[in-house]
Amino acid sequence: MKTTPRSFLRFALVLLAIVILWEGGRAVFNVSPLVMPGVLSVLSSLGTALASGEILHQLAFSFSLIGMGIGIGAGLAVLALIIGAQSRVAAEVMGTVASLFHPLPGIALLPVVILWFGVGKMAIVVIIVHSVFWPLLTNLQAGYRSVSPTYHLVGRNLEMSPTSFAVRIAAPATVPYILAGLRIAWARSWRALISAEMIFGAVAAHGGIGWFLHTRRVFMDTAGLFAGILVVMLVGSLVERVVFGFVERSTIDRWGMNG
Amino acid sequence: MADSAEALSVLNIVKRYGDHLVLPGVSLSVGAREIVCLLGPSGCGKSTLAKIAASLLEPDDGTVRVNGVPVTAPDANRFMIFQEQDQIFPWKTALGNVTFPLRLDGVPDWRARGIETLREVGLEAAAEKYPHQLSGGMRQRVALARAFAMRPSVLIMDEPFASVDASLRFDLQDLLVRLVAEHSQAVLFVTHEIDESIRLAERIVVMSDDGAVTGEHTVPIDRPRDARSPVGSRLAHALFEQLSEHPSR
Repeated sequence: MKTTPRSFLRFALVLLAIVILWEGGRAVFNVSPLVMPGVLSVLSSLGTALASGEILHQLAFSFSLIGMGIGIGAGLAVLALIIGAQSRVAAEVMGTVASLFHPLPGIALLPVVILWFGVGKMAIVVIIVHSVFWPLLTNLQAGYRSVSPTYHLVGRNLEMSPTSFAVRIAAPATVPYILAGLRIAWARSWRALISAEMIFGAVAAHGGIGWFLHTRRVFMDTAGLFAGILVVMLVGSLVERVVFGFVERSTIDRWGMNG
Repeated sequence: MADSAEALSVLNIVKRYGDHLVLPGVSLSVGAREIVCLLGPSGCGKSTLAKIAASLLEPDDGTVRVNGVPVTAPDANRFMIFQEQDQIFPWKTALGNVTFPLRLDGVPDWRARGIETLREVGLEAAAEKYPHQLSGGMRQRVALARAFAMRPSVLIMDEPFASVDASLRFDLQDLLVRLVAEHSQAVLFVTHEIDESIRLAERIVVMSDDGAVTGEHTVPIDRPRDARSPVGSRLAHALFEQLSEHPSR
């Protein structure tokens, strides 16, 4: 979606409406600030957390986990795709396994992951890898199957090796599927990450943004809690709209491959 | 026939799909600088023969020769152009598509040659455009340019203009004739349209719907051609009669 003056105005108006409803509700029902803090105190808490670097620090940690998880998950998915391309039996087995694991929320695996990998960074990365691997593999396989038979003929006509064909033709032809897979992978891993961090974030001083939320609740810092929620919302939508938006505009939109 | 040396020949090609005999032992040849049209009804096996001639499909029997040498593996010296407009890559510009095979092949002046070939097909101004910004006719021009830029000795074309508007098809046919005259390729051109074959071919090979070659005609009309000239009309009539001899089973 493009950012136009109109969409920006709409966004600002919606934001304003939420603030008015929030403050109005607080005033009318005389709610304690421990339950619903004022907008200004949420903003000042956000300012403090930003200024002290705490939120950014926790975010950076969270992103390093997601980066690692997406890197490993994507690498494994490409590997699985290559194996599946060699043997139909392998592809069918993987398809069945994927249909079982794809719908399983990462957080549901947490108890088992803790049992196997202990509490800490490793466990979270494993959960993220799970959140990334299956949707990416499913999309990569669908993309691979969708590569036009004409491309295969063109590739053979040009005497391309299987590797050269995969890199120069199959990969760009699959970009719409890769991006769709990455979008799902991002959404799932962001949710899984925050859930997992809230359950056990305390790896030394690093707990990630989920742990930040959790500690605000423990300390009854409600304004800080809402500040954290704001950050989670902003980061999530920033990645979806700005990062993915940019990548899509410079690839599939430009190529007319966005359906 | 322009040259006695046969650039491309297929000999006694047999192809079956399961129990269905598609090609019962077909032979034809194309001389250097010659355009041969393989004319036949839809589903007669002419596309199958074209793929076999490009070694993109293996025959059950028979041989394909290029300049007298038997070949079994595809190579860019026998360049195939397809009907599908998706044969050019949507993620590459017109120029990127034309230079793609050149760069694979390690041609040093790939960029200059790509631009020059785009100019020859009249698409110089569209060099940086992506296929989705081009019309169907322009996309097939890019496909032509991609093939001609490689300077193959044989071009195999499987109804490349069938999905283009009739008015544009004339332009593309003229363009093809001009390019072949300049670059002297041997062309095997598959079509089901009588007029197209008369406009293009030095020789027309007629295939019936059981996959057998039933006739061969040289086209004694000077270029530029008018398929509606008296000679063209007589030939068209003869071809129509020949195509109707074997009604669909």
